[in-house]
Amino acid sequence: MSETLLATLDTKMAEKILRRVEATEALEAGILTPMAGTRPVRLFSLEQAERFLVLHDGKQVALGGAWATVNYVDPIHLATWVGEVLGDAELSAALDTIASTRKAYGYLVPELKELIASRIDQAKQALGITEAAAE
Amino acid sequence: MAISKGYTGKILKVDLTTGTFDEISTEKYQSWGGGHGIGSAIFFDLCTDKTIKGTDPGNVVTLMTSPLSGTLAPSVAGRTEVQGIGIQAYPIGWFTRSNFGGRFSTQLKFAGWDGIVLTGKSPKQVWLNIINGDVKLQDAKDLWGLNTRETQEEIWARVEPSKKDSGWANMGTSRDAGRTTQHPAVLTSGPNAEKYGPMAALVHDAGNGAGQGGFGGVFASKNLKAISVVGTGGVSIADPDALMKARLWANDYSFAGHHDKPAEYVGLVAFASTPGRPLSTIQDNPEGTKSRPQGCVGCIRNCRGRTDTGQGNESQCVDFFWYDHHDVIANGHVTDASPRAADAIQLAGVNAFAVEAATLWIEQLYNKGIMGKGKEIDSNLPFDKFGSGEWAEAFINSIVTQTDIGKELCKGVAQAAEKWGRLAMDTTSGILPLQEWGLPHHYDARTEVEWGYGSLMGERDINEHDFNWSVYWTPTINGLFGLEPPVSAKRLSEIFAGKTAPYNDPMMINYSDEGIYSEAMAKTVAWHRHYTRFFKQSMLFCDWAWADFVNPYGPDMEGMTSIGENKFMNAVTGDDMTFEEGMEVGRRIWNIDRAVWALQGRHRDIEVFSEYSYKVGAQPGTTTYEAPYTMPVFEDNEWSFKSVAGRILDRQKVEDWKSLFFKLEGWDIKSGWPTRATLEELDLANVADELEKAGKLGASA
Repeated sequence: MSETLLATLDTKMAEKILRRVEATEALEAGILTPMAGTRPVRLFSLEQAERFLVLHDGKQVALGGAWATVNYVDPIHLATWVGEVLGDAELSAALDTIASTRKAYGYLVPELKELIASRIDQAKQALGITEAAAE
Repeated sequence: MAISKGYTGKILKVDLTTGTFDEISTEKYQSWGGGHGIGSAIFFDLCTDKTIKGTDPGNVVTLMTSPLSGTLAPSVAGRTEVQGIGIQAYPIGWFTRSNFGGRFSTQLKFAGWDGIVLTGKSPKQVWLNIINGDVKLQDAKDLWGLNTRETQEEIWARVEPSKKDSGWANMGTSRDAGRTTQHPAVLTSGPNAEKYGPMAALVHDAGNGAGQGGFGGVFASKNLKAISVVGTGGVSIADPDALMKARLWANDYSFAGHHDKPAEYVGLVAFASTPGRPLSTIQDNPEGTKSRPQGCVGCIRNCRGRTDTGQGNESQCVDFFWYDHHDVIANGHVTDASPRAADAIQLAGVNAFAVEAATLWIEQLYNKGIMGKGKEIDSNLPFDKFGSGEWAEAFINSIVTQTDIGKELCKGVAQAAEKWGRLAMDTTSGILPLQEWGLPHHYDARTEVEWGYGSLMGERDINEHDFNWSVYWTPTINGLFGLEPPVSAKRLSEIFAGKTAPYNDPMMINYSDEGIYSEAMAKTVAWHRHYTRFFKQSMLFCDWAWADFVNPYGPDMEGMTSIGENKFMNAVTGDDMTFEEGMEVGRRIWNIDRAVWALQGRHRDIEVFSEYSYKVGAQPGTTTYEAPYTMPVFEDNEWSFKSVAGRILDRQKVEDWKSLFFKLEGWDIKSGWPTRATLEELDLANVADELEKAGKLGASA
C-alpha cells in the first residue's frame, strides 16, 4: 500500500472519487503506437486512469522498434479532470504540483501513478474494501 | 532496344466483357519503371473516359509488379501495386492506388507476367485463373458469398489437386510444364463485396491487404471475385553477382549484419529495425500466445506473425489497432477481442483504416446519446459490450450484411456521415476523424505537414513513413523520456539534405510555425511525391524498410537511400540509372496522375483539409487527440526539437503554400492543373492534348 499525505476521506467522498463517470465526463488519453499514431482512448474512473499509467522504460520503448507503445495522458489534463469531474480538489492540486515540475513525461508517470494509487487505497479503506473483499 | 532484365516482357490484358485475353508489351511502357508508373500510363491509354465512377465497366484496373519482384532485392520483391478509379474517397472517387505484400507479385513474375490489366465487366461472376501462360476465367457463382479465407482455400483445392499426396503440384500436363510446392497466390474480395464496395479491401493469404480505394468493391463491380496465380518460372537477372554483392553490402546496414552487437540507437528506424519481431501480433493477442515471424518474399523485416492459437494470424498494425485500444480500456488488458477483431476484418475483406475512424466516431456518438437503441441514429449493436470481440464482430457483420448502421456505413464513412446529416458538423468539431477527401486521419496535417500536404495534393492518405520515423517518432519518444535523440536536429537536417536530390535543402525538415508554410516545405512534399511514386510504388521498395535515411549502422548515421535503391535496380535490370533519373521518372508519374485528377474534377479550390484542421487543435476531447508531437524546428537561427502539438493550420497560409507548391511543380497556380510546358518537358504531350481538349490544361506561367 502506498503512503499519502493527503487528508483522509469520508465515505461519501470515497464513493465519489471511485465512481465510474458518465461517458461524456471521461478522461481523454491516447496510446502512441508507431504506424498508427496516437489512438485516443477514454478512461472512466480513477482506477482505470491509474492502470493506464504504465511504467515504461524509455530506452526499451524506443528500442522496441515500430511496435513500441506509450500510454499517454496529459498530466495537467489529468489533474484538472480529477478536480473538476471527480471532485477531489486535494488530489487534483497534488497532481498539478507534480505535473508543474515539467519533468519529462516518463519521469512524471511513476509519481502520478503512486499518488493516485495511494488515494485509491485511502478511498477503499474508508469504504472498508479490502483486496480479499474486492476479489 | 530490347527490354531490360528483370521484366518478363509482357503484361496480361483481360477483357472481362468478352472473356478474352491479350498481351501488352512491357517494353512499350518500360520508361515508367514498373508498378505504379506503368499502371498509370496504361490507365491513361486505355481508360477513354476518366470521369466515370469506379464501378463503371469502363474503369481500368491494373495490378503491377516491378523488375525487382521475385528477386533477392531486400524488402522489395513481394509487393504488388493496384490502381484504378477508386470508390472510397469523397466527394470524388479519385484515380487512386493501393498496394499489398506477400507472394502475389513473385508468382505473377514466375508465371511470366509483369502485370495484369482488367477492363470491362464480366457478364457473370468469375475468377481469374493464371497458371504460367495458361489463363482462364472460371465460374465464381459458388465462391461469391465466401469469405476471403474460404475463397482462397477453395481455389487452392481447384488449382492443385495433385498436391494433396506429394506436396508438389504439377502445373500442366506436359513433362516440362513445371512443378511447385507453392500454393497459388490468390487475391480476393470478401463475400458479396459489391454491396459494401467503398469499405471493401482485397486480401491475399492471411494478412496482406489492399485496403485504400475500395478495390474489393471495384473487383466485385466487374463481377470478378478473385485472381489466382502460380508460376514455375523465374526472373532473369542482368548481373547476379552484383545483386548478391548489393545484398551483402546492405547487410552491413541491417540488424542481421550486427546481430552479435546490435546498435544501442534509441529511436525508430526503417531498414535497420530488428527483424522477425512480430510484436504487433504478440502484443495484440492474449498474454502467453506464441508467435513465429512471417514475412513477404525476400523481406528482411518479417513484420508479421503466425500464432499457435491461429487467431490474428499475419495481421499487424491497423488490422489490430482499429480495436485493440477499445479492448484494453474495456477489459484492462488485451483479450481475444483484439485478434477476433483483426480476423473479422481480414475474413470480410473490410478496410481496417476506415473502420478504425468509424469506430472512434461511433463511440463518441454513442457516448453523446446520439446513436443507440431508439436514438437519433438507431442501432441495436451491443454497445454495452463495446470493447468485446462480440461487438467488433457484430459491427463488421453489420457492414457486410448492410444491416443496422452498416446500412449506411457500407457506402463509406463520409457518405454515412452525410446521410446522417453529420458530415460538416462532426468534421468541424473533430469527432469524425476524416482529414482530407473523406479519408481517415492518420498522421496529423497540423503538425506533420508533409503527411497532410502529400495526402491533400494527392488522392489518399499517403501512408508513407519515410520522414515520419526520424522527424516525429524518434524525437517524440526520446522527449517523453527525457532522452536526447541520437541524431541532433541539425545533423538530421544535414542527412535529409544530402539524400533529397535534386533539392538538397536543409530547411526541408523545418516544422516550425513558419517552416510548414515555406518553399522548403514545398520541396519536401514534391520530393516525397516524386520519390515514392517511383521508388516505392513503381519499383515497389516496401515502406517498412525504405526510404533509409537514418541508420545506426551507416556512416555518421546515414542510411542507404539515394545509393541503395539504384544499386539493386541496376543489378537486376542491367541499366545504369542514377538516383536523380529515378526521381525524374517519379515526377513524370506524379504529373500524369495529377492530370487524371484534373480530368476528374480536381481544382485547387477543393484542395482543403477538413475544417477541424483549421479550427481545433489536437486536444483532449477530439478523436484526433495527439500526445506531444516533437519535431525538428529552425527558430532564431538554431535547430532544435520542439513539440508542435495543438497547432492549427492557418487557412490563408495553406493557400499561399499551395501556390508555392504549384509553382515548384510547374503547374498553373490558379487551378493547380499541369501546364503544357511542364508536361511536354516530361514527354507527355499526349496528356497535355487530352487536358486541353477537356478544358483542364493549366495556363502557362
